Amino acid sequence: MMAAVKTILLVEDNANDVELTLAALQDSNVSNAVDVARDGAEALDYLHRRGPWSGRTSEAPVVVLLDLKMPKVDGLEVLREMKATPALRHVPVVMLTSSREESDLVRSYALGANAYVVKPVDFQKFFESVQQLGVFWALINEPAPAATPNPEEKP
Amino acid sequence: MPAPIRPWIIRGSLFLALVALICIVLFAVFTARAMREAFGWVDHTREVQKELAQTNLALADAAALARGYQLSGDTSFLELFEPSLDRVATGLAELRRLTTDNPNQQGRLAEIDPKFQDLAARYRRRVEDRRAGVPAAYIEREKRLRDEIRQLTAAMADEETRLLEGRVRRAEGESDRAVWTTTGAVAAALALAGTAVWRLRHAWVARTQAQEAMERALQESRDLYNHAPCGYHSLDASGRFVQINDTELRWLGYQREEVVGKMRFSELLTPEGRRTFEEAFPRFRETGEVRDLEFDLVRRDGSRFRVSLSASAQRDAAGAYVSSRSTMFDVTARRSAESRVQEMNGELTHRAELLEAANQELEAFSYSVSHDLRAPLRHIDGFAGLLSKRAGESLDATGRRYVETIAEASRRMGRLIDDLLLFSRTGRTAMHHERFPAEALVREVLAELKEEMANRPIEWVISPLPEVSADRSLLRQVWVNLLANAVKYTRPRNPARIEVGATTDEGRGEQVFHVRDNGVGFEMAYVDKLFGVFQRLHRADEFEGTGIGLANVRRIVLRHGGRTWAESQPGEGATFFFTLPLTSSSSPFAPA
Repeated sequence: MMAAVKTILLVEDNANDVELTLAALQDSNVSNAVDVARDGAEALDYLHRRGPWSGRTSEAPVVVLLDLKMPKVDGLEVLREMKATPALRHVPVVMLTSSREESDLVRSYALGANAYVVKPVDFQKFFESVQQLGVFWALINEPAPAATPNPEEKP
Repeated sequence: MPAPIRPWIIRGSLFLALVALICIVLFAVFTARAMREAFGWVDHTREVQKELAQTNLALADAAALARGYQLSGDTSFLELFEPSLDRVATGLAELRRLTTDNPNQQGRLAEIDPKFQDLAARYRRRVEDRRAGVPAAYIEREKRLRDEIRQLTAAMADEETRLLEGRVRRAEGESDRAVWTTTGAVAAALALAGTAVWRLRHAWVARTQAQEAMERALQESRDLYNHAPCGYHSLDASGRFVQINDTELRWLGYQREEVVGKMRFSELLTPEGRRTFEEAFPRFRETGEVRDLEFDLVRRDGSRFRVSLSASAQRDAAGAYVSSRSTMFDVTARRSAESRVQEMNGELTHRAELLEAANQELEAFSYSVSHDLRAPLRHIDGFAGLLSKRAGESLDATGRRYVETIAEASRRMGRLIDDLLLFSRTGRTAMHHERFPAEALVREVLAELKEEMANRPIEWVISPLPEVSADRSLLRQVWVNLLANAVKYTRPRNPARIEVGATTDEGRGEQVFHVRDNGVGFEMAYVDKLFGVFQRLHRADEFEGTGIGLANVRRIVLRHGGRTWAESQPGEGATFFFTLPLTSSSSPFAPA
């Protein structure tokens, strides 16, 4: 059973947010390993298994918790590329961000985000939100089989 | 006002007068002929009477000669005897001729003739008898014959006299009638001619008056022409001035004598103006009209001024261009005003752009600041939470209070930032107008506020509210803020009373909504601060809040084209008003 447990990918440039998110997930029932990418470029390397992550052997993550605003490549670009890549398009992506800006919401969903969560300022609420996310996506949600064919192949 | 001139009356009168004159002439001719005839008869009568007298005389001569020879035997008497008898015969023949048309006279002559023959025979016998020596005897019979002849000739003379008198009387009657008729005809002719003359005089007076009126009108037109606030001129086919008004002369600085018949309009143009003209002229020739052609004219002193010219072409019967009439306005002042307006518009646009840019920058700034501030706040609260979670047990009460205060302060700042973000967003989000009943929205908001009103004695008075046209979610924020405020600031009241109502101000074309409470109220001195961002009239430990709610209300109402204000007395409660345009289909405060 343990070998089948997939990782959670957290894409977050802010070290404090990384630590708080990890603390929240640790405190929950979610036992999945959490890999952290510190910006969009690293996240794409991780997902494509290249650069520092070329030796990664784990399966595609069970969920990607994706921050919006990051240096180099931002969250929306990571999302766009994931949804354009057949091997990654079924990986659930949760936008986890400080922005409640309507345009960010609209663009995220337009690019195929599976969920959009605004990080609450309140510690307790933040903790609860992250834990619920972890539980839902890692435990409750049934991921797509690894070899799911693409319904419409892009020409 | 002279009577209208009717030419047919004059013509008719003159015609009738002419007819009368012709009648007079005909009558005169006729009368003259009748008179001449009458006078002819007088001559005739005289001739007849003369002939009668001479015949009688000749007969008397014959009688006397015959008697003289008888008495004396002197043959010298006989020399004239036979001629006298011949003379009588000739006289009788002449009389017969003269009176052929009168049977009475002819009858008498027929009576006379045998008597004369008889008498002449007796006179000859007497001469023969004397020659033969027979004694002469005066025979009674001769005397009787002579008397009878005398009577007959006297009757003839009488008849002629009588006839003459009748004829003269008739001629006189005719002459009288001619005189009367002529007099009448002359009078009629005079009357008709008089009528015509009177009519003509009348017409002449009317014409004179009309001429005077025309003269006055012409004078007035000339005055208007010359003193009009615009320039007028007429040009002949070669473009030479035929006429020009004072105004245009004044503008140009020329005297009329220098211009009319001497100058061409083209001499007043600048090279540029000449080009404008040459471009417009073919069309002018074709359509016969040009409107609002703008160009510069050169004054006598060389300075220039801008005019707007409209002209129409006059053509002859064959359609050939003969002359033009132009009206023009000095548009220098208008032009400078226009350019000034344009300049100001440009400046305004520039300023609006600057303002827009500054506004956008400010929005972007507040957005990013809010975002960037949220992260560290979350971290403060998060790590304070982690700290109390991990080390809570080892901290004393003061330490735990400190951690709690850190967390509380960061949460409060979080709320401020959230509100600020919301405020920033209400100014930027696109508006979606729809029509819906305001009352339903108010009820909806009240249901939402139920939690805050739990266990509060609040008396709600909600009057019927109209349908509005607005962005529903934005207007919802307005009601949430106003009703939550009313609930909040009536907290010390038991019971609290909150009224919601609306009126229509047709004059200003708006619906006025109000929320009236019997809460703590505020001092009107601070009313201006009420709707400002982060402006509060109460301490946070009295009434919680960030001071952004009413600022948001104002911003939303402004975006809908409405107004906001409030009235209050401390301790007496407050009333908040906002308006929406009656037809708020579009708002002047559309988002950038």
